[in-house]
Amino acid sequence: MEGYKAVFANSDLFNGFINSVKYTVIGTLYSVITVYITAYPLSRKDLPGRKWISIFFIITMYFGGGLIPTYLVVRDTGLLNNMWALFLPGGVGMGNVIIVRNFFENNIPKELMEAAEIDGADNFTVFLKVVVPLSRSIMAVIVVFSMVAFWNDWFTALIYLQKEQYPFPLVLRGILITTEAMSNMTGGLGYAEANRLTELVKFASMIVAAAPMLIIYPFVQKYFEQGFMTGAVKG
Amino acid sequence: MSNPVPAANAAATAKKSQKHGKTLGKRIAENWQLYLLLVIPVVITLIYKYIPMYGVQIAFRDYKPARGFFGSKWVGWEWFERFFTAPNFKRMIVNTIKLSVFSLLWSFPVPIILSLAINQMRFKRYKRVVQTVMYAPHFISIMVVCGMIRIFLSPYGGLINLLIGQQIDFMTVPEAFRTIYIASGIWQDAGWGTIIYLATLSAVDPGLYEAAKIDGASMFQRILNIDVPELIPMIILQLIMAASGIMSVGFEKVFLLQTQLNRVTSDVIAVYVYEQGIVDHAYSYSTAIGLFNTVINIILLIVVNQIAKKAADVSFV
Repeated sequence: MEGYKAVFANSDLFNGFINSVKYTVIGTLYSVITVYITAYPLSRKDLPGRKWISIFFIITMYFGGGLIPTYLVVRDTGLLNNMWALFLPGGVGMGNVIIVRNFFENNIPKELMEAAEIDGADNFTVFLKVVVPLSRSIMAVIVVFSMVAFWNDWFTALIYLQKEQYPFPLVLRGILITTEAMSNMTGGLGYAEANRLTELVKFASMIVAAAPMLIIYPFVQKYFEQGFMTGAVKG
Repeated sequence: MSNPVPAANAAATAKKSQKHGKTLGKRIAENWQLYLLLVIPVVITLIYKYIPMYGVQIAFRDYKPARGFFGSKWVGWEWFERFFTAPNFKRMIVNTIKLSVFSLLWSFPVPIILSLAINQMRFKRYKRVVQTVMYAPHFISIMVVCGMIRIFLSPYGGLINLLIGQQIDFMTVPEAFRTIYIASGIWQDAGWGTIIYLATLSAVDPGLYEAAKIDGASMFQRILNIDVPELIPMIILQLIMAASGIMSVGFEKVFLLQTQLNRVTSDVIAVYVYEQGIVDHAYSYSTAIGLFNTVINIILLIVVNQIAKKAADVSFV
């Protein structure tokens, strides 16, 4: 317990924890919303130009500008040291879009959507009242995938953000790997005592970093296979 | 749900015949809301995916921030030449290829064998628990994994050193780097890799197993003659995907496991791109190296895809 107290008493680690929670919540919302508003139109076979729009998005799965050109665009759009640099450069999660699109195509009865249209519902209403409620299982999978990705992400933050904005894993790096951050915590303690506390904090902070995702994923585990299969049908 | 279902079928047919004669313009107008939904994703993708793709041309320019992507001076192949003659060029190429080829050879078969074994489990409850446990490492941050590696391998009371009764600091031993990287990679992702194979195996008709059992086939024969053939197309597909990524070694773990002393084996192209670009601000040079890497990956993808097409009549791209 002493280790955990030390973790949250340390302002860097505590800050990192709060940052990570914030990035995970906002990032997950961002990614689920963008995936849904991309996947729904692309799942509609009656949409003129659907094929070309799909190609436009799928190209980004195979080609990219690479680290530096992307960095320069992020910088030129004023996102350095801005939280949105963690979300926007990733674009739309195309792997997730394909999984969700195929789910819409195969698991939501066309008749239901058409019946709603005849009752006067426009496309927005069909999307919000029929498609979204009927796709809860796949949404759960996307939510968990996004949460894990944002909770564990540190490289994007290393490139685009400054120290006070670092998420928990990046603060952890200071403790586990470069071991620079520990000195300000153990200052004033004897050597043996400092050593013991360092070890405690290491273990405690690793558990704080790993536990949330390990607790969450078993809840959606049964949908994994299904998601992967619907996703694999058409690449 | 705001709508009753019964009328749906009749209504659907009516709608179809009505839709048939519509002009393209009318169909576009009818779906304006769908296009509106796509506006935000398209704009984000254009800005953060397509502009950087176009900006790759700074690999052939001398990029100066004041002049921007397209105003900087054209220098042709200069950066590429500088990379090919860089002192560590050969070492980086060799390290990158070795690390990913060995990684592929060691880690690729593991999920296949695991999924064949899990598929034979008859107690559903137990099977689920096994799967949950095996998926777990995939959800742990790479940062924590690297922290664990360092603690286990620590010369001061690390588990491995206690077992062998030595005090070796493995993180500084160049010969140990690849083994550490690959073994921890298998630990983290082999379980997760079984999903796709298990999903494929779940399509096997259970009657087939029964018939084989009656004919006296042993468990091993059943796996070899029923399960393995079912998996072959998926295995080839996965192999194509893996092979095309040979040059893209996962940057994050190498970066975290690298120490000044194990660089002989841990220096890879991706880390160099990061150091040159983000740390040293050599934007054009770094972009050129990244581009070189990407081009090789694309060539590999095309070649492997062609081979697979000829060999097994499966194609991925």
